[in-house]
Amino acid sequence: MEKLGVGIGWRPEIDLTVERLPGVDFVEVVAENLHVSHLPESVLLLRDRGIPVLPHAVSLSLGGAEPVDRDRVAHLASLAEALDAPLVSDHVCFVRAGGLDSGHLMPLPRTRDALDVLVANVKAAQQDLPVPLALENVAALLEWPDADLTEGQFFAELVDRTDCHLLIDVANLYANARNLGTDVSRFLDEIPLERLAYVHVAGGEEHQGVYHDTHAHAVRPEVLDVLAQLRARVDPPGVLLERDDHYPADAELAGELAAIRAVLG
Amino acid sequence: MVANSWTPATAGSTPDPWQGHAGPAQTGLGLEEQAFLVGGPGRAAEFAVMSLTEAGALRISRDGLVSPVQSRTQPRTPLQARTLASVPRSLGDVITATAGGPESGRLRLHLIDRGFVVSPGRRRAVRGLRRLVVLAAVLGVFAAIALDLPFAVAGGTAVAMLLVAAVLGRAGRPLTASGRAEVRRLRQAAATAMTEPGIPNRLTLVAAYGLLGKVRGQYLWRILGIAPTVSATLRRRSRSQGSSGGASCGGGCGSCSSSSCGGGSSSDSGSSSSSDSGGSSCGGGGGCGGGGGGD
Ligand SMILES: [Fe+2]
Repeated sequence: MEKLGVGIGWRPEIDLTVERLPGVDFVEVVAENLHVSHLPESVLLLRDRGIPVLPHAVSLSLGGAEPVDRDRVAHLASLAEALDAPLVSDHVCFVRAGGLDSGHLMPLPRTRDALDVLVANVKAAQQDLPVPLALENVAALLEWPDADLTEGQFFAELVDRTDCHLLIDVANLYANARNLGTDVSRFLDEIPLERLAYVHVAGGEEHQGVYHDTHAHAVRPEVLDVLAQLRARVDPPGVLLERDDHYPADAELAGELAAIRAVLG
Repeated sequence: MVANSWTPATAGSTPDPWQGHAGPAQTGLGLEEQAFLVGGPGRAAEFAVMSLTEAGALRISRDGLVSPVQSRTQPRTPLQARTLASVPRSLGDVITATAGGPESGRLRLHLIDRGFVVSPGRRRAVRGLRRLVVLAAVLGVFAAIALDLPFAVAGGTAVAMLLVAAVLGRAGRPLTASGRAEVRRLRQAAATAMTEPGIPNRLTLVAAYGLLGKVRGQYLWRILGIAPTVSATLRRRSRSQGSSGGASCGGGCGSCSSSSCGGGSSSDSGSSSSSDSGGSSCGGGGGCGGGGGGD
């Protein structure tokens, strides 16, 4: 996998901050928020500086029972081409069911049937995409009963059958370990880390005993510990800080990037 | 100079809420207050927004979206508090919202209380008196002609009355003598600020000229390094001033009536500062922000 380095999620509110922060090797844009015909000046500027810009989708609903929406895939594909992106990504989840949009990244039941549906959708999307697709683990507040596979096994089979790449969100791993009791090291042992494209790091908040993956708070040391666990197994091609709200001062964001770099060694 | 003695006050350390950007001890007026004297609520609002931005409490995106920076930065003045409560919005809209809020009206009352701005009631009274004097002068001339009085008497009386009217005209200006002195002080500070870079000086320029004001032939926003896409949010609103955009701002500025927010003597108008007419973002035609030019 291409070496990406350390990056940050590009958001319109902090465009100038992202442009001037030291040590930003790549950025990620939320695919649904951009239009290929009028891309933000800041994103074009970063692209022209040679900084990889990776479109990150949240709405393909690859785990949904319905076939993938080809228009959404086409949008992601055209964005990848316009941005010269080396790869694109979405999540292992569903956001729509029966015509309703949940507005959330809902976890999938880890059954063979659900995996078959996911694999079919991923393959359909891959056919229309000009670049590799990486898939991300989500944070869940609930687990479907009667799982056939662990989350790690589920991802391993998904990679095996679709040849997709992995986008591992260590904050989501921490959230699931904290809220659902999932085993982080077992997950990391079970997934094919050689297919790792990059890693997400994000901040969150604990509220009434539940950890919320808010992307609006500072990155907690426990999340960096999960990153360190991953780093002990593999040198990730890229690690990206996600911050979506309550943006702190430039210096604070720079500090979080430096903390990530320190873990990577 | 105001620019050189700018000392940030920590929140809650000053009994007077408007003293966030205190000027020299001998005047006691902060830059935000001086901005109001020079350019009305629009200019004071611009100052509030830009002072928060320079302090790192706000960030402005490439296309002019102003958003809060997550921190413990506390507003130092009521106007800044209004600004922080108005974001996220485009720069132009934040300034309009700040200028149109109740705090700018209270700032005006505060400046009246402290003797820098003439109260509207007093200005109305003086203007009414002036009209009466002018009317009396005209009637006096007619009466002198009708009664066949010597020309010297009629003319002398008329001239005397018009002199009284002129004096009353000066008394009817929006700023008091100390208000005008503050304006002069700010302009001097701004002239110095042009030669000494630094955050306080940048803010002095904002207070004195407004973002859309011109300094040495260049727009201030350009001098401050603000992107054209950001300043476009100011222009857009200025153009639509007549229709919707002006409402809140125009209302606020109306109280600081058009020609004379600046209140300086007309001799000031030869200086570069006068070119900022229509300058403040809320200025548009100069009704509001254009204080500098009106004087
Ligand atoms: Fe993520």
